[in-house]
Amino acid sequence: MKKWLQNIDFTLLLIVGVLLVFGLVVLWSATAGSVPNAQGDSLLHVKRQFVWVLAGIGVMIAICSIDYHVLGHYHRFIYLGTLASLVLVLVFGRSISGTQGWFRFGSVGIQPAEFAKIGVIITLAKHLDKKEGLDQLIDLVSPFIHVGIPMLLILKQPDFGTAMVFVGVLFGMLFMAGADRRHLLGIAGAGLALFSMAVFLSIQGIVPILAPHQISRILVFFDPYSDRTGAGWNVIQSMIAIGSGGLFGKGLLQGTQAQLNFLPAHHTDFVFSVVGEELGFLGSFFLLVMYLLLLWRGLKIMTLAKDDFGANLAAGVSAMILFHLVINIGMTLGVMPVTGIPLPFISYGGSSLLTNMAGIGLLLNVHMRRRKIMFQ
Amino acid sequence: MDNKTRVERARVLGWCIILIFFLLTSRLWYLQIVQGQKYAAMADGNRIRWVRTPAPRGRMFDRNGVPLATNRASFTVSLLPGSLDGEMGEQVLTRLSDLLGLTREELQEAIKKGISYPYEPIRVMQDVPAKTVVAMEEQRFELPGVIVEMAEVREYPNGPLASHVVGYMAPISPSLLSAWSDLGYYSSDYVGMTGLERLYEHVLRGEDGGSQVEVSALNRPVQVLDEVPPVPGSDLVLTIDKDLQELAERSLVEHLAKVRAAGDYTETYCGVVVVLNPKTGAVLAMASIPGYDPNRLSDAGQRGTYYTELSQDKHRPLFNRAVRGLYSPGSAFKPIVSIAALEEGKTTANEVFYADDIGPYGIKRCWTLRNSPPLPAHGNVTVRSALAESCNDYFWEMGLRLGVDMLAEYARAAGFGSPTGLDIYPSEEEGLVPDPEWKRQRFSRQPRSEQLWYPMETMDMAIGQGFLLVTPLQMAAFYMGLANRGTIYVPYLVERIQRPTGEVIAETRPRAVRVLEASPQTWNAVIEGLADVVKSGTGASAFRGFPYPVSIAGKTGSVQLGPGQGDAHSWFCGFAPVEDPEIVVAAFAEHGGGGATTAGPIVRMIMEEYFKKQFEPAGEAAGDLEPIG
Repeated sequence: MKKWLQNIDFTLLLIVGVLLVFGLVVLWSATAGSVPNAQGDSLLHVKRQFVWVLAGIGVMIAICSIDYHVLGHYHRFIYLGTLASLVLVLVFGRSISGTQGWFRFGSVGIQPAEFAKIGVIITLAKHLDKKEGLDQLIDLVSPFIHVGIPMLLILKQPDFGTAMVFVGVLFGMLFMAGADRRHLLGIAGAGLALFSMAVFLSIQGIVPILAPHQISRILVFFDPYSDRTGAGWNVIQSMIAIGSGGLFGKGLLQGTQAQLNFLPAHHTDFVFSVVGEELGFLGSFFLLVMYLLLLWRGLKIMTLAKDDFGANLAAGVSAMILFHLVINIGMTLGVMPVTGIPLPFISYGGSSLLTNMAGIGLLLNVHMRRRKIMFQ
Repeated sequence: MDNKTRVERARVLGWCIILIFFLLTSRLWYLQIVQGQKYAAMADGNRIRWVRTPAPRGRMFDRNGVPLATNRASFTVSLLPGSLDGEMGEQVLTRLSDLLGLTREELQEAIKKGISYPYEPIRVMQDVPAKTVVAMEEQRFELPGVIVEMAEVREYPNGPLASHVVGYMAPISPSLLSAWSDLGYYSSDYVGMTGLERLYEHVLRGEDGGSQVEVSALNRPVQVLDEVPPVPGSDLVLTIDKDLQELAERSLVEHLAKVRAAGDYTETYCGVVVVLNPKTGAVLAMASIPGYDPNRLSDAGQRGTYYTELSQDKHRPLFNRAVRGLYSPGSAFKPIVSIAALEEGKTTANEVFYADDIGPYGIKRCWTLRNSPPLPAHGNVTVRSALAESCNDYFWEMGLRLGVDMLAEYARAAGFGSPTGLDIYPSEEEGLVPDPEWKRQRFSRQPRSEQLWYPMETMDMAIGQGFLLVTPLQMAAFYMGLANRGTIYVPYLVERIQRPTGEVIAETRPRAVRVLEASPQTWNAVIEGLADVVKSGTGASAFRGFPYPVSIAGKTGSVQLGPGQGDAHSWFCGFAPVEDPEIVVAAFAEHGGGGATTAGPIVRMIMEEYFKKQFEPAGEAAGDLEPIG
């Protein structure tokens, strides 16, 4: 037990702890006065999120206490379970703002797509581990299919942002698993070209591949003012919020953009805008540094992993967190299209938090069972 | 995979991550530090609204402080036209028409007329009953874009009284809005459209105040950041005497009705009375009949239909005849001919002229001969009796003796052909004093023979007919000159401008801009002649039995119109007391016939009422006296 404790990555735990506290504080500021709830309790969101944090810590402990090889052993069950949950949500799920991605249990909503990330990371890590090699282009087909099936199910909801995270996870893991970087760059380039073609054809109305709201989000990405009261509103208000924060920010509860509700979804997808507005450049930069340290730990654990399976797991979790960050923060800064991707550890919402905590659990797991090169 | 490759790949990934973080940080820096000021301003622009507090409009009072135009708090309903698009807008209109009891057409009409910007509210109804206001508050979420508020609306407590003087208010027109763009008008503002409301718009309006309000994204006020109180508009104290004005309007309406009923002149509906104080030029009453009710014209809900009704009325109630109506002065013009002839030595006060009432050149007949049955010719007349009896033959003769240029010169000296300078909107007509040069230009496209000035036309002019055109106000100003033996003051309507506290900002000083120069003998002869008109001459019938010992001077006028143009216009202009005139009254009735029949009695009624106050002080004043001892 003592040895077990010794092998815990306390640096990672500390970083996650700081992020969770930071998140609860920002969430308190973002919801106390400006997000109404039926209970009339200004701390309701913070309380709920705190319960999720506790649950997340539980999940984290649970995951790191099971040897990840055991998880790998059940990869078929995990993969099938993941696919099943994604199919079920398409059949029985609830639709929230146009995306059919929720199961509802009482007052708690569960997003299977979030947990699917962990499922796909574990099973893909195992899949890549079992593959003989990744040197040939043909070797990449099966990983693509492995990720492609759940991704298509998620696109069906449709949840474009989450699907994009899967692509990021896939590429990150393939790269770390030793795929040829020219292959990866080529595929990424081809994918981008195909996507551009799809956008072009949809905009021109030749083939309606993308839904109208997706097209408008892409157009708005290039010029938010083309639809300033519609799809462009969020981006414009987010940039105003962050920009007006200046160096030091307006202070907690003082951000007018958030507190007066000019900033939509400011406790969920646009929570980073609240950080920018109320804590300024310094607060935002601090948060970015925390994430950077987190990813540094992820990469470190990757190199320390006892075997390729462990390294693949660490790569997957790191890639997942990285892509969440880039897509979410990029969106609030107006350099990424608007997608409903939460900010890890900060955004209000249980599914996302549990997923990220499960990811941390995996990282701790791999770290704990790392190569024994120390003097013991 | 060996550990070395793994570390190497992790390092590549690490650098990628650092690059990504560097880019995000740069973007943060750009937004927060480089563009921070701009975004801070935009955030303030989001949350801070300027909410206007309209200044209370200045009121108008008569010379004794009786209110003529005031303000009244009223629940008003306004619409934001921009929020009325689509199906939702249709529903809002349906609900609103049910609530307000207006038809959808009326609502749409009001919107169409009021629209200038989609986000400026249009007032569709005022004086909304409290019950309706409550009902609307209950449904406020089903009525987006509908604004119910307490607003001050203009009220004219005396209704149509002095409507042409006071004027009315209406939403600012797009052309005025752009002309007054520097003055801070909003397209939802009401402005004075005519009368003093318009002329003194910038005095009455005051300065709007407002508050800087922090609002939420739903435009709900959160807190007031700054407040600037409005500066109320200034009040106007008019020269108008409300009682006299009321009397002038009532006598016009009642007497014209009486004349029509008598059957001689059945088309006389329109008339003017102007009452001046000859000592200052102050306008004590200025009535133009028919008028209109400015309350209805200023009311958002009624304006449309009422305005249409007024503009289609053949008697043109919106037209201020007192200053814009152009008529021949008829015989009421003769005093200036007398003065000219006496002053130019074309006659003397004692010259006896034999009037056979067949004009020079033998073509014209005086009114005596055209009467049925014909009256005897005037016979021997002097300037005094020619005025008293309105002898056309005498004035034809004098006109020819003077010549058109001399006539025109005296007419202009008396103020004809140019505005008197009254402060009114729309401004006065100039009228016309014709002369040969004018005629040549006026008919330059006609044959040469049409351009020539003929002696016949001089004769017409000498009896106030022909091309000569005057406004009733010019006539009143001219008679003020007669009453003053020369001095003509600029008539004025605003006695003073004062703040709501009573502090006087500006006061009108009488200005004598025109003096009719004539010798005392001339004045005596002319004024005696005018006094004889009332005593024994053409006006005597109208003034018979005047109850007060006041000497009155005046002149009748009867403007013969061309064939098919209806009955003659009726004039009477006069002043009293002759020795020291206090009041000048000019009355005019379109198609009123003879001066003594229609206009004369109206002048008498006004003078009677005016002098009644002097000779019969109000009864209750005596009763108020405390018994001594």
